[in-house]
Amino acid sequence: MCDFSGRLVAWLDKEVPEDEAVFLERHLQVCVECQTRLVAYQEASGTFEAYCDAEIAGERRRSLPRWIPVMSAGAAAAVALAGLFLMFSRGRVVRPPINSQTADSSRATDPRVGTAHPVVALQTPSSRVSRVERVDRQHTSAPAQHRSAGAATAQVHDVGALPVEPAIEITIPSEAMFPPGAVPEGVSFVADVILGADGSAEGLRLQPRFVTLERRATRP
Amino acid sequence: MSGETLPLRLPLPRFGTREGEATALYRELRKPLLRYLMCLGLSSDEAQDVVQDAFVSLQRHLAAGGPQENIRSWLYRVAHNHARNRQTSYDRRFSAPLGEVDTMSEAPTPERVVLEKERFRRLGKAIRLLSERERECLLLRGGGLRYREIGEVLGIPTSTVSDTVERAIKKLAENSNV
Repeated sequence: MCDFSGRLVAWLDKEVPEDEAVFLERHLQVCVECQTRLVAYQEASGTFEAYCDAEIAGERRRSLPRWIPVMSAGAAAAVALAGLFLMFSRGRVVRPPINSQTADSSRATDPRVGTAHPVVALQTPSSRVSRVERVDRQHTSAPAQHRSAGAATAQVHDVGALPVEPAIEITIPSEAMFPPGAVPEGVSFVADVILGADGSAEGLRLQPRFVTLERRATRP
Repeated sequence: MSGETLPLRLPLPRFGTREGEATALYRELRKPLLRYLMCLGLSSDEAQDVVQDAFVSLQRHLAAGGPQENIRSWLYRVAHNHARNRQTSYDRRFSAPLGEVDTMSEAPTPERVVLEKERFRRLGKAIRLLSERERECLLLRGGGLRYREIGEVLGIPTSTVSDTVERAIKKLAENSNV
């Protein structure tokens, strides 16, 4: 082995004194063995750094909070649901018979009422925000009566027609949209769709919701 | 007391008087320090904690009028010792076989993926043959530290650092056949 081979890395790292560096460079021009070693050392050094970077990149990916991909998937699903809801609701706008006096007074006080479909805002001005919700499978059999149904339902009976959907709840089981285990138990998403007077979507707001988990029944 | 205004003096911390220097060092050294610590085996969260602790120590050191010479190696040494105290995770990075590490940075072709994985597999094997001190020297060298600084971080003479780095690179080249 060449006597200079033990100083090649130090020379690469510019850690040898100037006079020694000059001597070494002259030697490198004529010594094939040292040239070969130098190339191998450079490559080993570079690969070591790349290896470290790859390890770190893997570690960073592994340490990402687990809820980030779930939230992203949930948000995408909520947007898709909102789109479906809009397509569905725009196709069946009903114009029920209305009390013209009530309509006029409401229109006068509510600046948000549009002219195209006054009934929509007339019945429940607050119903510009309709809800699309995804909940888990055990809630699918229950009708969507538990939320905001009271006053709106009474108004429906008063006018004898379907005025507007105060709260439409579309339930899609998580297994149908996500791979098993992608959505943590007890989490659902609510998409509040803000509708304009002409039925078009003006805005969308997503909110994660935590469903109360039921404790396992215990024997008496 | 009416109409009299008392001077309001809050007990501000004494450190922070040389904030500019600490901030500049933070910008320069945060990423290399994180890399070094994660390569030593700390998780991303642990490394962030250690870096934060190290910079808090640095700010106190500067505020107390501590010497500014070799501040880079001082910071690395503090971080290194913090990492050392976390013995549970220290040095686990290269102690286990390389898992599902994504070794490709861009546009992988099937052939390139196979070659790259094989190259990294051999190198991972070679790295595990290095001693702890050799790995530390290589990692600090990769962070851009001079041999003198590496010696200050690890508490060993510069000549020992030179020999250790030389030996480590030689081992890697021979055992990985890269």
